Amino acid sequence: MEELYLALPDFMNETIDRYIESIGKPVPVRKIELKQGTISFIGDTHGALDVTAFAMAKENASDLTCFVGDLVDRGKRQLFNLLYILEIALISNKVIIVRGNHESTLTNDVYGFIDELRNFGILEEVYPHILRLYGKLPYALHVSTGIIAVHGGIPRSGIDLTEWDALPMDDLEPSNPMAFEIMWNDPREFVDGFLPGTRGEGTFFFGPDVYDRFAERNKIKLFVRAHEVKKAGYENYFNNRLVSIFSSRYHKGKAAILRVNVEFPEKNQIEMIPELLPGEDWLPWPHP
Amino acid sequence: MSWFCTKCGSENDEGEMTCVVCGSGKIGVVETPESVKVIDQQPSNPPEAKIEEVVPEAPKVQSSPPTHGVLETGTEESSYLEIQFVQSPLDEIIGKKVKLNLSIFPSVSVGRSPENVLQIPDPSVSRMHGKFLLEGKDFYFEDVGSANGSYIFDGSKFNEAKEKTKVEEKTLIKLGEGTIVKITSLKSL
Repeated sequence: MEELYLALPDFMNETIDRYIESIGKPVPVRKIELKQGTISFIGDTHGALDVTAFAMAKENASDLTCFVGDLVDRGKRQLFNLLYILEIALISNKVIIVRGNHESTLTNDVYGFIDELRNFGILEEVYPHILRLYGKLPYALHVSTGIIAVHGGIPRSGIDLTEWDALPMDDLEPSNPMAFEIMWNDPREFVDGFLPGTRGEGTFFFGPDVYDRFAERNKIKLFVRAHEVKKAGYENYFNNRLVSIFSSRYHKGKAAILRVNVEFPEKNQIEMIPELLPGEDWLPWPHP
Repeated sequence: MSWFCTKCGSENDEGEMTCVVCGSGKIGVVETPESVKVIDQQPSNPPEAKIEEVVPEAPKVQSSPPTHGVLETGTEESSYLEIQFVQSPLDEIIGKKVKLNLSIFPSVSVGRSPENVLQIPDPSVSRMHGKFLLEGKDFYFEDVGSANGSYIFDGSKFNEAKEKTKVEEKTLIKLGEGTIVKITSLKSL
């Protein structure tokens, strides 16, 4: 089946292009007016198509599903994870993809996605379309009731969300430092202000004081982010006002989904994705 | 054949050279004596130290003979330095505070190897990485020739501490590439 599809890179490009078209005018912060209902957040999947498929079935009742970046690199089925999410976003019209640091030219060469495309023999044909997609993905999802989702965290400059609206799109690395930090920064309980991170040049940790300033200024009640491996699949920070969610198989930790009632963002729920049985590639379909 | 990390116990695929969970090196490949800097090794080390490295163990602060300085346990008045882990490759120890007593012996060793008073579970930290010193009323940190260096935060960036550097309350020290500790309190008698 996979081989049949692979014979037709044009079909894949069509999926990618249709998704780009469906985004409309690309914006750095995707704003959603939603007064009631449920949003499901899925963290880094990194090619864990079994997690993505299970999560989409399990969270079928949600009004919106947000993938908080890092769909490709590292895992087993990176391209198909991306294409599946794009297709289901087009079909359901209730999926939002926020850009992660692996939706970038900086990482794909090192962490496996380029290799996967090259092994399929479709790198030159398909990757340009994927790069075009990266440049159109929003850096953040902002829900009117005070929920924000980004891949990494709060940047040093840009404590006011209105500043984010001016971020340039089609920035493939991105080279804009604010955009870069939104995708790379990490929260830490015992840091004051910002501290240079341990992931490398240009990355920072932000502490609870930064969170407080940001949350107060932008009326944020819940901050959702991904980006870091969590053995339990998730971790709460800053008195449960920030949730770090992780949904991949590659790092051997547990995969989790965050479900949020938009009226009461502080009362969010964690849904664990079952472990794969030894030797199995897929999870049994969830029963409602 | 998959292998188990000796630091955190996670199972890793054969192709991985470092643990995908905590980043520790694969024993026998990354940590063969040839690939370890000589400066890290204790010339007169008994072989037991090697064996300890291979036994999986939870990250913890190792107590040590008093000649190496000791961890604070009693309530007696003493000179001490309290540090907190602000960042570590192991989530479990982030936020943990450790009080180091420098009254009995005014030098406390820091490094990845279990024979240190303060053991740091981070593959980028050298076996013998550095030491805290009490000299007169002042506390210092000194790198003892680590492979990846020690860095002191100046308010905007981490600068490599090539010489013995005075530390105070709120000083932030980066050890190697993945561990940051903060001095949370100190007192010299």
